[in-house]
Amino acid sequence: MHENVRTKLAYSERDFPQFAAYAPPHTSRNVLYPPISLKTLRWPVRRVPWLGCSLLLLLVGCSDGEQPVDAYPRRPIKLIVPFAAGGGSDTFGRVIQNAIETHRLLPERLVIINVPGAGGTIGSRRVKHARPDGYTLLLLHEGMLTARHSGSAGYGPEAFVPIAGTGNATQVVAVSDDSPYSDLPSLMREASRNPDSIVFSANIGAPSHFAGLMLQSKRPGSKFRYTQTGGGAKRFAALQGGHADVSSFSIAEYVQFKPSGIRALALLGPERHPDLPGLATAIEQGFDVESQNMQFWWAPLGTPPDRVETIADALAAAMQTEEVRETLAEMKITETVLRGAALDAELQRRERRIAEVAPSAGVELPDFAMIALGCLTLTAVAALIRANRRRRSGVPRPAVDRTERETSAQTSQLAAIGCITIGYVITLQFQLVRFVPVTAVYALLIGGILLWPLIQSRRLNAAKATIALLVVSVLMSVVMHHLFTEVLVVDLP
Amino acid sequence: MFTEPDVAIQFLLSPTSLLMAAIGSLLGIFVGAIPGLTGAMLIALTLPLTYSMPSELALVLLVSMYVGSVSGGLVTATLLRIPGTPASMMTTLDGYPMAQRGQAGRALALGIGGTFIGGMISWGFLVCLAQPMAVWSLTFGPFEFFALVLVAMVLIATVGGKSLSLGLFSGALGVMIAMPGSSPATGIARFTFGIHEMDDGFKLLPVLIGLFAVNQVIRQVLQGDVGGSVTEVNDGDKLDFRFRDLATHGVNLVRSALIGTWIGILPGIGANVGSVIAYSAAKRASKTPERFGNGSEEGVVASETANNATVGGALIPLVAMGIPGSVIDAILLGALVIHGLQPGPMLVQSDPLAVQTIVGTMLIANLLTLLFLLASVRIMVRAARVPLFVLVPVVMIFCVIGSYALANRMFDVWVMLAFGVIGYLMERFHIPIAPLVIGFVLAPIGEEHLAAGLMQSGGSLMPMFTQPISLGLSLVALALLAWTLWRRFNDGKAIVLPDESS
Repeated sequence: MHENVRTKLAYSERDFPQFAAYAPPHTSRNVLYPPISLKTLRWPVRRVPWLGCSLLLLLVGCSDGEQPVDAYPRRPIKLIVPFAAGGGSDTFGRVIQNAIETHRLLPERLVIINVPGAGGTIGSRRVKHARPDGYTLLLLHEGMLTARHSGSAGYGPEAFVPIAGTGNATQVVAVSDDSPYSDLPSLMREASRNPDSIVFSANIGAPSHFAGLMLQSKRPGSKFRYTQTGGGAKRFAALQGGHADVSSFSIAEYVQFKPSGIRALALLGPERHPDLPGLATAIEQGFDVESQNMQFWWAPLGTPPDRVETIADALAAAMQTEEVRETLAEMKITETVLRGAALDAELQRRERRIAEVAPSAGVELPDFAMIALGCLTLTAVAALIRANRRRRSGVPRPAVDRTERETSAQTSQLAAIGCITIGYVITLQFQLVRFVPVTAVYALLIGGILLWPLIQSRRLNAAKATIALLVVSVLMSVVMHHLFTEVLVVDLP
Repeated sequence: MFTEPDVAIQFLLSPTSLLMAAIGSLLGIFVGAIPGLTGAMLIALTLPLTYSMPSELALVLLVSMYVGSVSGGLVTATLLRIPGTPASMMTTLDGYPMAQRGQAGRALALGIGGTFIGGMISWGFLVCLAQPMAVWSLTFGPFEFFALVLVAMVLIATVGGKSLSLGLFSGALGVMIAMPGSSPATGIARFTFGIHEMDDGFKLLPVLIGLFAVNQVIRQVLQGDVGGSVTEVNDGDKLDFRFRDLATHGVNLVRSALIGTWIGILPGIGANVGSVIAYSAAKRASKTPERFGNGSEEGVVASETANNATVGGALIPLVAMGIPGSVIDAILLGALVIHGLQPGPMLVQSDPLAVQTIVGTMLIANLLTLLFLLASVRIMVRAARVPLFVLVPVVMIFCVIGSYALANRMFDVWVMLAFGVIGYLMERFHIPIAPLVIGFVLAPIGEEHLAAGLMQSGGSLMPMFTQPISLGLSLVALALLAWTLWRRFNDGKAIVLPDESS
């Protein structure tokens, strides 16, 4: 356990070199009291909003169009990782990205953009609809192959151009230490003697689920009872707590949890793993099952083949660098690289294996969403009845707070701010103007709306306040843009 | 958990992490002091900034913000009679009268002392209880967890607010909002209305930023500037600590800290309720209850000790079981997930460093908060006067960019804006927001466990009532609901507590 902590710490520092340079925003303090001494300066305050508008127009006119592209790549390439930062796929992507950057394997940067959600389909759908110019790529593992079969997406690998398959993480089937099963055949014998009695802890629709499905398909009559558990740590907890009988893990997870009380029955790879020489493969034990998780790189359909080749070359070179090999060894991932015809063949082979075992329906679950809707209606009715009764019985109804000093002036301020905010978000959504100018103008406008009545009623020094607002607007937009694009690598519009 | 603390200690004492803790507690204190801003809002808005940090460093920052934000409210509560955070509401009752009498320094000293001691006592409980609780809950199967989630939901809906029906409605709304998107059990999308951006439903962060930050902006704009309208108090006198306070207020300190910690452990109930209950307990036990509300030292001590003690208490179920103890803990839970950590009883084993970081940070942040409070009382009174025309643009830009950064998509920004309006409307009609947040966070956890249990039992719900722990927990949930209903209908008067949400 101790060792793991150390490696984890080492990882995080190696993966995020920008962390040393990370400077948290002091903006809130700086902007509150901007150093202003020009008391005599009178700014045409009344014109602030107009000034903002003209600035906006100016910048719309100036924003440059698409540059002609002949050589590739001429600008940073966006790599969409459809999982959250810090997860397995993200870590893998960043290891490769680092190698590409330190060894200058591509003339431009590879920028990782996390678009997590819905098992990777939100990110993959974005790449599917992206312009096929080689500047938007996707890193997605077996999830691409399983998504259609588990019902979470209507498309599969055919909707993309595969660039390369890199790294291979093999899975193992494991039971808790005190389990009666000593090897795969004894487990499968029990599974066919008493079908639907051995509880298989899985992440439904993910490789851990398909590992079980493939196993049972190789012995007719056998059937596991699958239960949704989640990630590796949770599956380990389920085994340890006696809530499940068997589960599958990646080798890295298995090595981590082994000392705490689990035992592998079989390795789901083509041959034994150097780190676990004593563990027989499923094939050796008479079950032709392989479950390996490979990281695949994809481009949108229609991407020029020469650009695909450029990226594949860079990836293959990155996989050969010393630091990538070291990191992958620590993560128990083999350094395989597949491309071209070999990649297509492997993809087909894997998809066939997955397609053979359509996920079984399992237990009919109640429709939780409908139950929730029912509860909501019920409580809404109860709340209404209660409010009604309270009103009738003469108890003062605390419906609307009257202590708030709302005036029509403030309501219209709010309405104006609301409209401007919606306009701002629409501008960002359709990328009409670049982020920095539109944000500065936005801050100026809503600040101006709030400032205007105060200046009118002479409650504060107009010049000072205006300069403060200007400084805040410019600082906020520039600093935020810098912070998020450079330090946090967010793909700001 | 504390078998190999050297790595964690080394990490926590490294300059970077100390800097993070300092920044976090300082920002937390200031945000706690500024009436328009709350700790929940600060942490929700900071979370996007931590995406690229190592998870431990992010935890240091966020947990120290939590500690700071609960403490910061006492200064403005005492000097300006504005509770900077709702948790300091009870402090205004006695702190401000004391300050008016010219005892501002004394009131602040008592508050700061209480804050520190409350924090330390609850930290002790966190250290002692987190590990055994995690080990105990390792034996929990899916049904047990589902029963635990039920208890948490009933607790927050019944104890948190003024009206039971509105609390339950808010909780149910939270559960409903969690429904669209992929089902946590099978991964199949539902209620997406054909919009693919909805495949993952509403994410926690945009919803929270909307409910807390945008909602607050709307209210502030409608209220106008509050800064100038409050009577000023001479804050010039020195902080007045006396050693015999420990003897005179000793019982009160320990009682309030215990109440605070216990209220914190109960899932879903946070600092506000803790300080109210400790305050009324102190009043009941006091020899001079008539002075409460007119500048009683005991009142200040009780309120501030308890609200800080809830922090440590609320972290216990979060660390040990992955069940949030308060709204801010719900955000911290989201932070753990975003950083690739799996909250739950396994966290102590799978990621001991993260747990040690949370626990250690609470200690460090408590010490730093004490230091900063002693040093920066006066600056804070000025900070509480940040004009709206500066505050609103800054907060709004943070809201937009923060929600966008989560998944690099504008959809989340629209979700955030929509929930800002929803949050504002809810508060306007006195529907508490906290049950919604807890319902929204707990629904997927509960659904996943219930589904897992049903899949494991072959579709039968019976294990829920045959296993002792889940049966016990279900009975607790039922009894809580029945007791609250019975009380409401018989006494006619409910325990009136301040809204948890803002």
